[in-house]
Amino acid sequence: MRRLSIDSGQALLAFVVLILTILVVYPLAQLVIQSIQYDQQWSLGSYVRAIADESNLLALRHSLEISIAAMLGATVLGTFLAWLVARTDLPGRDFFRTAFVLPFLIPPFIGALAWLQILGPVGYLNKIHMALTGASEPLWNIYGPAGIVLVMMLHEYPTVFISVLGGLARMNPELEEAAQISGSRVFRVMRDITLPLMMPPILAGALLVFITNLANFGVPAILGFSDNYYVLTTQIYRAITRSTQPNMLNIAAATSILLALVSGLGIFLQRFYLGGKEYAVISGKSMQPNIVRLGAHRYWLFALASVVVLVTVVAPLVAILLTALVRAYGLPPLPENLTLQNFYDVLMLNQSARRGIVNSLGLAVAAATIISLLSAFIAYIIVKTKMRGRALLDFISNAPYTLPGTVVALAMILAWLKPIPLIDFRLYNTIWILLVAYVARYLAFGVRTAAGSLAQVHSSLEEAARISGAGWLQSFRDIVVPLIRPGLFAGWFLVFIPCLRELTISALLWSTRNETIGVVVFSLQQSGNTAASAALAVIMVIVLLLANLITRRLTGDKLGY
Amino acid sequence: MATVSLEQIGKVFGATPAVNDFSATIADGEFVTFLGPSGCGKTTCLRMVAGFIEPTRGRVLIGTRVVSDPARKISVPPEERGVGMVFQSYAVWPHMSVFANVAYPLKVKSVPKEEQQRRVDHALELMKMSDLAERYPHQLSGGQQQRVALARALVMNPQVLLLDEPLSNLDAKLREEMRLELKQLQKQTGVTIIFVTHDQMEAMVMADRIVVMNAGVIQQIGAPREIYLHPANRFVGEFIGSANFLRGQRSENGFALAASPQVILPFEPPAALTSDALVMMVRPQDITLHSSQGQLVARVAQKMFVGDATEYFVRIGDETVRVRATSREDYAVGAMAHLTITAGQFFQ
Repeated sequence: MRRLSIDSGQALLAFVVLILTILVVYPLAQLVIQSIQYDQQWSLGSYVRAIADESNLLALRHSLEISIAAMLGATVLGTFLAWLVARTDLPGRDFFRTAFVLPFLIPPFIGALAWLQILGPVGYLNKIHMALTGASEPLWNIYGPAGIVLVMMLHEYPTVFISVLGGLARMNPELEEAAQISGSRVFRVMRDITLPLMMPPILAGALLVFITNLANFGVPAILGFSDNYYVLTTQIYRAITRSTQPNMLNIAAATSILLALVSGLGIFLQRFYLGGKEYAVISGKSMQPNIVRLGAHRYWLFALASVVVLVTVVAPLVAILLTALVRAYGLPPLPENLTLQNFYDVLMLNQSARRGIVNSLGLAVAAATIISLLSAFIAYIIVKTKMRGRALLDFISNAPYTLPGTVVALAMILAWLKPIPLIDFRLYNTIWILLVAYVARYLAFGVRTAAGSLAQVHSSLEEAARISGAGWLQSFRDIVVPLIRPGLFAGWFLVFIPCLRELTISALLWSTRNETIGVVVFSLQQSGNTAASAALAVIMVIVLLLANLITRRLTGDKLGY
Repeated sequence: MATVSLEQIGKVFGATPAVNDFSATIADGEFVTFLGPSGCGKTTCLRMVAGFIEPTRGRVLIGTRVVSDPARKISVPPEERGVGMVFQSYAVWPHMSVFANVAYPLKVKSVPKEEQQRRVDHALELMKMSDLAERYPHQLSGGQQQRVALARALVMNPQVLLLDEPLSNLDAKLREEMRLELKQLQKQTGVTIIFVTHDQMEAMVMADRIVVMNAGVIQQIGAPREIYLHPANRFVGEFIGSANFLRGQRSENGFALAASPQVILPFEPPAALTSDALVMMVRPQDITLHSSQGQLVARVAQKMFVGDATEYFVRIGDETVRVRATSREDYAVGAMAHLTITAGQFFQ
């Protein structure tokens, strides 16, 4: 492809390597190093203690149990809904196609918060039940593993839904027609042909759900803490924030590597499975796929689909809005109890909430901007040069997103706890550690979109600039960057939105005056200030909806939900 | 085996008519081709026979059984029509072995295992695929997948076999092979075949009769020879083979080309054509070139040597005429040549 002149090429590589070392390699190396130290000695003592600790083993078991259960639920639900939307004459299919993805818009921990308003011990449904039946016990208490699984499932089924929808769209409808002409009725075709052919996208989606749930912190934190039910992420959080035992960070590092390994196994399985089994799609005429006529079934299936939207999107939003609007938590949402006081409190009076909003917006803008610039360079090296080690570069820039957030956060703590030598500046306990962590965490999003656009820019365009006398850097600035600007722009939003809703990393890295919006919602809820927490959560959801809307507008509906 | 009848079929997608007043009867054991440019409605018609598309109007019969009749709300689903079909993409299921693919229609009908084995073996033998029974589709070439699809379509001994451009994804050599094999197969099994293609050569070689379609309307139904020699209209003449369309005037005892009005050609337009301004269709091989004494004089504008013949483009006045000359005489570009038209057909 291209040979950069020695100086500019090496300078670029050196710059990128330096940045990635600071952002990713050094923190992760610290994590590994600290995990194999005990009492300041090289030793596997931390691992021995991590594994010997029964609460850790229990947490591991909990992690696997809820992740697998939620994965199964999300997979069945997501696959079924994808089939319903793509292959039947369900009324309102186009609406449902959009609506079934909406749970992605609500951060899972906000969902957990909302479900607490519905099915917590004093949740709306439980209260209605007790009022109607005179029972003194709630109908169902959402605290604990079942509730965690429910919320995770409701939030993650869109992953499978999207994956299977894509698979069905790519599938050649003639494969199904061939079975029909062979004498199979519609449902037999589904069983014999469609379902087996959809196994790769179903499994890919399922494993993604498993990995996501394994790494989830917010849901088990909100629905598990008060029940003393811990999973690996919350267990590590508890160890770091509350434990005072010696070598605590080393043991936490060892535990988090355990978590990373389980998650890595899931990723490995996903890659392995996809590697061998993706069926080549021979495209025939692009024909309307066979639509299953539901007949009389369409009514109850329509009702079911509506209930899914109601339960996954409408109910949590309404519940959390009602709680935010009520004068005091626990009062019924009657007209005389409604007030905007909670919003006034969090927006005007509560200084940490105000700071959280400002900090989160600032961090999201800064991280998105830095990543956009950085990923242009990284993607350039990966896509357009033949430099040695560019595959490694790709791997490194992906690592922080592939790993569970808790692991990344702990790596950041271990790396930046001590002051940086020479300049004697301690990143820990400042807002900068959050920025560094965000940039590392979401770098993969920027690199992926930038690499995608760069692959479209033909080398000859740049070569023409070089022939015209422009140096490498000049042609990069004048030709490459303008051509991939839409991609960089899209990447900016892909980073901006998740930064706004971040909780897992922030929960471990925040400090007083350096709160984020997610952390404040979480802290308010943990300290029992439910109404304020709900009000701030509503504000957060509104900000996210607006950001999503703007993203869709600006990217011509290519991004966002 | 069975006849297939399409009676005054109409199909409207949304507001766009796709097929209009389509009537054709395919006789028992006949090989009929639906031929036309892409988008002409030929595949839609085939899929209406299969049952994947319901006609808006008209009736479809397989044998004596009405399988589609929207007026009487009859609509037999594809799985109950008892037809075999080979799809353009072959649609061989990637998650099943060759044997399982071919056995599937029998399995659906709960045919006993031993009989399944016997009939699949027979079908695979017919397609010369016996030694590949345990393979999976991704281990097969395009031609082999095609044979699997055919075996699967034939294993039920269907009354009717529908083929949707089955040869279009094969390379030229394989295509020729498969043409012969399909003809052979039809002789062996006696199955009624409807074959959809946009390739006029393919249609000519294979079909007993061709249904030429354009814009959802049948243009002509007839044997290949008849369609080639006596196209019903200008579209058919143009679509089948190549042709010159020469404008001119009816005159006494003949026809005068607009490009050379003083010469009266000895072809009398039929009286059924009412207008005097007509178009004469002349195939390139129905014109001969001479060094002297032809009907017309033309200047050679371009020539291409294609081995078994030489294609000339000659100019008569302002008209360019394509000539296919098989003689060994050679005319240089720019030279004058005499030409004689030996056959032609008139259109309005």
